[in-house]
Amino acid sequence: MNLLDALRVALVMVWTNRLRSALTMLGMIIGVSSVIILVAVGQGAVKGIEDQIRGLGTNLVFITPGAAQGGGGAAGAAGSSQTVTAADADALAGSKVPGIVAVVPQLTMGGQVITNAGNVRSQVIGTTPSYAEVRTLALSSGSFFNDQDVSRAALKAVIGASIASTLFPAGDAVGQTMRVTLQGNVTFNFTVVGVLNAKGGGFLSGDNNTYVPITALQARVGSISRNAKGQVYLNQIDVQTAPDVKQATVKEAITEVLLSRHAVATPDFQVQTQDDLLGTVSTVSAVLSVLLGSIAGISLVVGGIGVMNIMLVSVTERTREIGIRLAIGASAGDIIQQFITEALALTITGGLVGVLIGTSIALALNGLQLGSVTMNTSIQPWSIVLAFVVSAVIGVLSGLYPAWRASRLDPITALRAD
Amino acid sequence: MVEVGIADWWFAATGHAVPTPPPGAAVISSEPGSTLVRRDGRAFLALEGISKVYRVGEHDIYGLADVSVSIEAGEFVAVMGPSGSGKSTLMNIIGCLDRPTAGDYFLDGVEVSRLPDLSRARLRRMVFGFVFQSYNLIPRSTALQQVELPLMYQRASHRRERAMEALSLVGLADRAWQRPSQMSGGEQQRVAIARSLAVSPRIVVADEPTGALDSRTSDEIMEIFTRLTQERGITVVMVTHEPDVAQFSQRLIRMRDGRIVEDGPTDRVLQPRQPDDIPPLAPSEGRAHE
Repeated sequence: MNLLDALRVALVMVWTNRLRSALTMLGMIIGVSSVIILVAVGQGAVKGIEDQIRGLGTNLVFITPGAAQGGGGAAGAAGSSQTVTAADADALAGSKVPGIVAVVPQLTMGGQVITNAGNVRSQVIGTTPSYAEVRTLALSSGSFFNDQDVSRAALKAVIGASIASTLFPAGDAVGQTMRVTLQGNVTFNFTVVGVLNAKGGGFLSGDNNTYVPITALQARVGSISRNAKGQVYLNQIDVQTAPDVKQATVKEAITEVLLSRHAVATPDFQVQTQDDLLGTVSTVSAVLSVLLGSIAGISLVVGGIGVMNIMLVSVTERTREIGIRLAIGASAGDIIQQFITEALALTITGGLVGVLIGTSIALALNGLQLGSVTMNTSIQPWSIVLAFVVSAVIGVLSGLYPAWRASRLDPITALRAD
Repeated sequence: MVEVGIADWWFAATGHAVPTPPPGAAVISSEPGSTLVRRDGRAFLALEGISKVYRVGEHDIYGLADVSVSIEAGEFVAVMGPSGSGKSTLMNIIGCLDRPTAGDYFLDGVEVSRLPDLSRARLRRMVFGFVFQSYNLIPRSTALQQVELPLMYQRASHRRERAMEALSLVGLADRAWQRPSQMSGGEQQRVAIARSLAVSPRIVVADEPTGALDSRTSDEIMEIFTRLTQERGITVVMVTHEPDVAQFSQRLIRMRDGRIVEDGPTDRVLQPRQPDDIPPLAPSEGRAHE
């Protein structure tokens, strides 16, 4: 029997046993579509994080305290080191390192923001007005504080959209006063000068942040803004580089300046470019994809076992038919071909339907609002190809054993079967 | 005597190259592990000392005990005998569905009982047509598909035309698109006969082809068989229980306990039986089945 005939016969068989075929295919459909959906969701999440890193601003280099790699146990954990200082930021701003466009110091404290309408936990970030430019913050109302506010250590604040909506439900935040308790022990009254546009999404969005002049924190919370050496420390320095210089070069120059200032051989600080961060994310993404893919892969294997089960039942049930075919001249090879083709017809049809359903669901999930989280899905062509190829391979494998059993039947015994 | 020409069809059927034998008897090597032995002077079908032993527990049970029989091309042979006499075993061995435990089976001078499975499958495909008591049609396939099936295994061309031709031969051209469940027993058996004829077989092996049919339909089927032998030179070997059916044949073999007890022209073998011995015509459902 040639291949085309075998395929036609197989499709007729699949169609004749519609219900059973559909149920068998369901296993493959669920397997294939879950591979596609899970990979798409995983990649979508990663892509969302990548977009947020890119959305932080353009051409940024981040300097944070702590050793780059492990080094001394928990020493690298953010906040535990206070090795990066305000003097470092001034030195970088005044240095001759080519390609530095802006240097933005940041001092972050945990805070509680309170009005009559409510009480919100917030990251209070002390910084300079260039932060708004470097991080491309857009305001929905009011304005960012200015250089004068910084030099005067003014008690002015710019708040994230989420804080504004909670604490000033009437939408008239600008000009109002709110109480801010810093580190749980000192409280000040800040005047709101600006409200940021909502950024939405994940943990990097900053919708819950409060931005104040860095000097306001340093001057008024002096006791807790100095490290053991008595230096005014920073949590982070953002350096914006010129678009036409290589960030790696700037990163090296910055590292040298800081190493000599700190008079240490190995860095007690980290310098990371946006590309570095993206690199970390893509490592995470690879792990995530493999994890999700293999979970979904299990369901593909289960689906394959379902196909094998049905094919075995089918061989038993059609023993007499196999006997007839052997009697009228089918060879063992013809019988093997017939059952493998049938298994393939089932799995490939199931695989195609799975691809259709998987991509449709992944597309439908994209942009779906789940509470405060927006689902992002990114359909990966490789996952479609992989799922499809795996389903075809499973088709052959799961058809192989039943086909072999069928081909080994003795024609006379088979003809006698009921 | 040169025998090469006689078996040429066999080599054509099985796809082997025709070897050039030495003069006289020829030993032909074909596939690895098999030797085709051709000898002169045999009938078209020649069974020599065929035995079939079934092992049941500790006992050997003889399905066939040292059976020798020769059948010429174009003969219409009926085989009769009580249940368990070895008729069906004989048919299965003739049709290359089963292998004998001992003995040689020459088909047109070629020993075929020890050929590899694939060669025997090809022989069934190209040389034999099978008709069974229970029709053995494939459920849920149309008559046309049933008849086309062996042609598909032959990888033959013009399958649809040939299948339709075979269906017309049994008078069912107008029912080509019907399924077994929509047909009467007689019609189903005629489809089975069409299926066996579509491949232009040399030999039709029929195991109680009329066992499940009423007498009028049985006569129709038998007329088809008679025509096959007379017009096409096809050899028909048929097992039956019914003398009415057997009388259509030219030659009758009676079996008992795995042996041939009588073999001769049908008229003569049937004659010694007294009219009392012949069972009265019974309604179809009352007929003996094996």
